[in-house]
Amino acid sequence: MFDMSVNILYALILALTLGIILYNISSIKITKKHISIFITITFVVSYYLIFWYKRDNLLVPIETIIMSIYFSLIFRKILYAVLISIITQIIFALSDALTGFILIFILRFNYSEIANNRMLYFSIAVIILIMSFFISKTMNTFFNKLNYNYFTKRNSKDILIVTLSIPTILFSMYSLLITFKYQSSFPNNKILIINIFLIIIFVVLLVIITNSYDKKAKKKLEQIYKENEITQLKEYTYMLETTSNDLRKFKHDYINILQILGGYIESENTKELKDFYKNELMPVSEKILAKDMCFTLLQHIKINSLKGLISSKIITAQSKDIKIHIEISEDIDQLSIGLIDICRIIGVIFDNAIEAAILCESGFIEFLIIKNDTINTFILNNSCIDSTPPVYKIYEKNFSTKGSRRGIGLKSVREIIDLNYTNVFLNTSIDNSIFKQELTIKN
Amino acid sequence: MLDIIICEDNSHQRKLIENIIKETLINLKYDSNVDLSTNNPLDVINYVKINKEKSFIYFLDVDLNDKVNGVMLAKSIREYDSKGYIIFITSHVELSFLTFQYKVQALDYIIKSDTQSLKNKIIECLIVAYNDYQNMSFNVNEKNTIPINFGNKIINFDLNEILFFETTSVDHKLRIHTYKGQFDFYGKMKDIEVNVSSNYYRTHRSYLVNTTKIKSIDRFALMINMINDETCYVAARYIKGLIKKCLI
Repeated sequence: MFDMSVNILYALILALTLGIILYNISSIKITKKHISIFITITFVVSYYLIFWYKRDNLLVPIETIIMSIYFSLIFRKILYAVLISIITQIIFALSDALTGFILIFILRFNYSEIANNRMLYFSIAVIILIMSFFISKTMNTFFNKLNYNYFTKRNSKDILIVTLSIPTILFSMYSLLITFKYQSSFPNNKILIINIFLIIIFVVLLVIITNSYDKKAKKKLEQIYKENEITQLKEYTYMLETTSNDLRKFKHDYINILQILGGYIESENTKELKDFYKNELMPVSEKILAKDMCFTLLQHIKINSLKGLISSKIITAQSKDIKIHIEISEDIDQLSIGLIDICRIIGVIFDNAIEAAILCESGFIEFLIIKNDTINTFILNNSCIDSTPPVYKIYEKNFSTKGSRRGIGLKSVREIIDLNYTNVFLNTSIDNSIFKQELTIKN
Repeated sequence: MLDIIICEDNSHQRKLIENIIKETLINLKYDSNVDLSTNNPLDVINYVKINKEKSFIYFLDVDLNDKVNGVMLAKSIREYDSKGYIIFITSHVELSFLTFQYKVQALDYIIKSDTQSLKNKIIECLIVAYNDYQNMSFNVNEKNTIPINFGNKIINFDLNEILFFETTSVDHKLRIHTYKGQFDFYGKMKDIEVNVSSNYYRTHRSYLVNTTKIKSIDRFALMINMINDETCYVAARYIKGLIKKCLI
């Protein structure tokens, strides 16, 4: 009876360890409910594998498979779930190896002693649990870089390298363990040291690979953004030239008008003066006044990629006959937010505004940038139709007005902000058929 | 009640505006007077500093030919009078009005055109300001609002419009859910709890819910359905208390 309860506890501790490691290193938040279900399943399976079927060498592959399947269903991202499950096993192996190292070399236990003493075996499991907790917490910063956000970009070659190397590492470690276990029933200390050493090398390799993948992914994204920036700035320059040409034409017309007016005034021809004013002058000036000066306001944005992006969005909106009102009165030189992130966020918000305004009869968009000491606020208001869903629905998982899986949507925008920034706030509201977005960045 | 302060550098126009306002105050039988009418913005700042417990209605010229222009003056005023009503006077259609609205919470702007439209606009602004002030005082006195600090401004939220408060995955960042939308700000649940009405109940470590806006509670799934079909959660240990609160 006592034996069985120790066994049960042992399997439970094992399952708990895996659960804790995964919970700590996953960059997608896992609810307590999901992790408890996972721990229960692993516990049951491990117990039966170890104590009934006595095939504990199958533990690692079967646990990995269970983990991958379960979390693929929860995360809805198969690749990320599989990789993170394998990394969990690797960290577990590392804790196991380090615990063994400490016990055998520092505390001078004997290997056979441990293998035969039930209680000792069990306490070691607890130590491994504690060590796994700390290791996974510290390694969190390394594995957070395997951000699932970047995973969605199709950098196939790099993903392939990472995808192949991680299971390879696990496979090598696993075969190492099996070899040691079955080749020598009384392993001597030298072999144990080599074992531990190799495991540590594998883990270091793992960290290096994930980090270099992350750097590459980031670089590629930056490259794409730089290319877009050049195109957008070209468009911006073109719009400025158009505005400048319009001004030149206006000067020309203005001189003509003054001459004509002068003529009528000198000849004191009031009737023709009145006619001229009503029929020629007013319509022409209305046309001039209606011409947009909003591009010149963009000069206040001293960040080129942002300027290009916003200019491009304005051009798109105008091409769809949406009225745009822009107010930027102060220079924006510096924002305490990553360049890629701010461009993404503003890009998404603007796209949403344009799509919503198109559906309205007289759609309009108001875009303001306001600076208050160290706080920069971007405000985007757009007209929207009455059947616009309420704000909370738009932020729900898997919501998209464009059908499934198109665009990154507001939920991802919120995730980008919440995951990375404590100084950025996004307020969304709908008031009187106007959809309002207010993005505040504290410098 | 709400007294008036005027700052306009063109003395002719200033006199004109002053007279229109005085006339309107008498006609509408409002209990206020024009406390200050000057061309010097510094006078305004000093006066407001001395009278910082009072709220005023301000009529400010945007293009004051001084070192301090209308918007800067408004900003300084806001340091002492956060509830006052600021109305800008300008000579043409104000292209940056929305910015003024956000920066200094300006109420409206008036174009210096012919006397009749000037008069109509002034009357309109005075009425709006008065009604809002009465509404506001009523709400504040009845403790119907809660001030939320968004960093660059403080907004009084109507407690009747808030559905619930939620914590986010970022430390100390809270989110208000209202009928209109969601708003993020820095704060602690504990501080909010003491400032809300007794209708609010802490159903979960992450949720402070306005029980008057609950449509239904699912006891087994531990979910709360709000009036607008939004959902939030209740922890097992708070469910009894929540149901008790709702049945009162």
